[in-house]
Amino acid sequence: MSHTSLVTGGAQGIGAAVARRLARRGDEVWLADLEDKRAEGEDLAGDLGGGFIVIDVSEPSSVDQAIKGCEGLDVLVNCAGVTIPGEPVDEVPTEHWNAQIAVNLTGTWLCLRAAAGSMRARGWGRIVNLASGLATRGMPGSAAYAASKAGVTGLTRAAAADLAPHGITVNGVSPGYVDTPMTRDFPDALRAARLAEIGMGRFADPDEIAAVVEFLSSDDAAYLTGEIVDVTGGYRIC
Amino acid sequence: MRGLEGMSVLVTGAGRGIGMAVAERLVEEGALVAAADLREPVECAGAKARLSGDVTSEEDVDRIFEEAWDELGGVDALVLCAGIHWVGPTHEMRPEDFDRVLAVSARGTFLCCRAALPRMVERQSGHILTFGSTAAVAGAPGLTAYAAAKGAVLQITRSIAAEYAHIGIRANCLCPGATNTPLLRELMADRADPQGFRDAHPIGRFAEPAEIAGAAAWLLSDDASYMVGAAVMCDGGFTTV
Repeated sequence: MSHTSLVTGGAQGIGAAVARRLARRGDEVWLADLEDKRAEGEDLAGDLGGGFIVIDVSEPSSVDQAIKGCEGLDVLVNCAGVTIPGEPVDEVPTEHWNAQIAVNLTGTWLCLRAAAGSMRARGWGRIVNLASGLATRGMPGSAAYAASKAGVTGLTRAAAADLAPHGITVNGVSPGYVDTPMTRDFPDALRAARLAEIGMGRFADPDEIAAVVEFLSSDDAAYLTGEIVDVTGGYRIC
Repeated sequence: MRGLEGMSVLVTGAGRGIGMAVAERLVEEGALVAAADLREPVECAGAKARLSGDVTSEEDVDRIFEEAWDELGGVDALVLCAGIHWVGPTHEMRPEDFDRVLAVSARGTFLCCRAALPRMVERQSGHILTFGSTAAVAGAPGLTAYAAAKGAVLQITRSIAAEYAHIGIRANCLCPGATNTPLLRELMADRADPQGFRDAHPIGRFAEPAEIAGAAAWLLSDDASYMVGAAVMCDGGFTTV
């Protein structure tokens, strides 16, 4: 069965990989991202036969307007996120703290709130939030990001409890290290240290994270809700 | 699901309940399945081989694995569903009851992995999917031995994942919640408040075996290629609340 799906942060990275996956299985896919990602977003949407919507997930009016534009929304994937790393907790500027909480946590909630109504009405829905291993593990210089993602984890579980009776599942995907321009630029020593901590000895391809999102937004995952699925290749399992 | 077509899979506990549903789903996906169970005859639609034996017995497990290898032309994956329970107050449980429950789940999982790993190491690839339970991570009144056994299965899985991931062997643990199987029906018959237990699941119902089978098939597939050492709860939100 074909679904109507919305991927926030869909113009690049994991969001774009998710959009490709969902389009490949036959979904009508809406990519939502910031105005300054319009060019990449429209190009990808064109390739996928889908649409691009401008969204600022930290702004309630922007979220409501964007989601209103996706009639019959079945699947919401919250990939929009921002990180400002390298700031020790006692040196984080207030505006950096607020920006990460606003996009990563409040933004996820705003999108979920806007999408849940029509899913409830139809008695079927899939919501997948991008979480992070930093929700449960400390890493220097990541306080605001970690707090926002711990919030996403709590939000995911509470939302799952609220929405399960209405046929809507809410799950999180917690990726480990992913092969991106940023991780490719790691200094050799840092890269070797991270790889040594990963059982599989390699970083994930973004498509491997997207594959888990695809499963969680499928009929086969009907009984899976409130779960944060670790997709880490065995990162620090011992 | 990608990668299941032609995969050779040995499924234990395949004679009924979740094990049977998993085996049948894998057959549907094009896998070559050897269905093993303690009970004979092993009835599993579409299985290429039907094998019987006791997973607590080293000799039986080694024989089952070799038979599966011969019948399927190799074993790419293990799916370890064999399990039993003992229900009742912990202070009334006999040591032999405790030992038996642990033997089937924990020892059985270890023996099956031990039988399969040498060939997987040789081939530098393989999949091991074990079956935990919500009881592996949450208290389970009246099911102390079962919870201990499933906790052990989860830790066996994580340890094997950590030990063998670097050579291409993926081990994961699927943890179903209450699932509509003969085992659950026996448990519910003994329960004073079955509706209360059902209501403790946010989704408002127990799982069907086919729903667990869908998650199991996915974990074996290439769509879960970066998942190693994971404990995936498939429980309708039971451990969420």
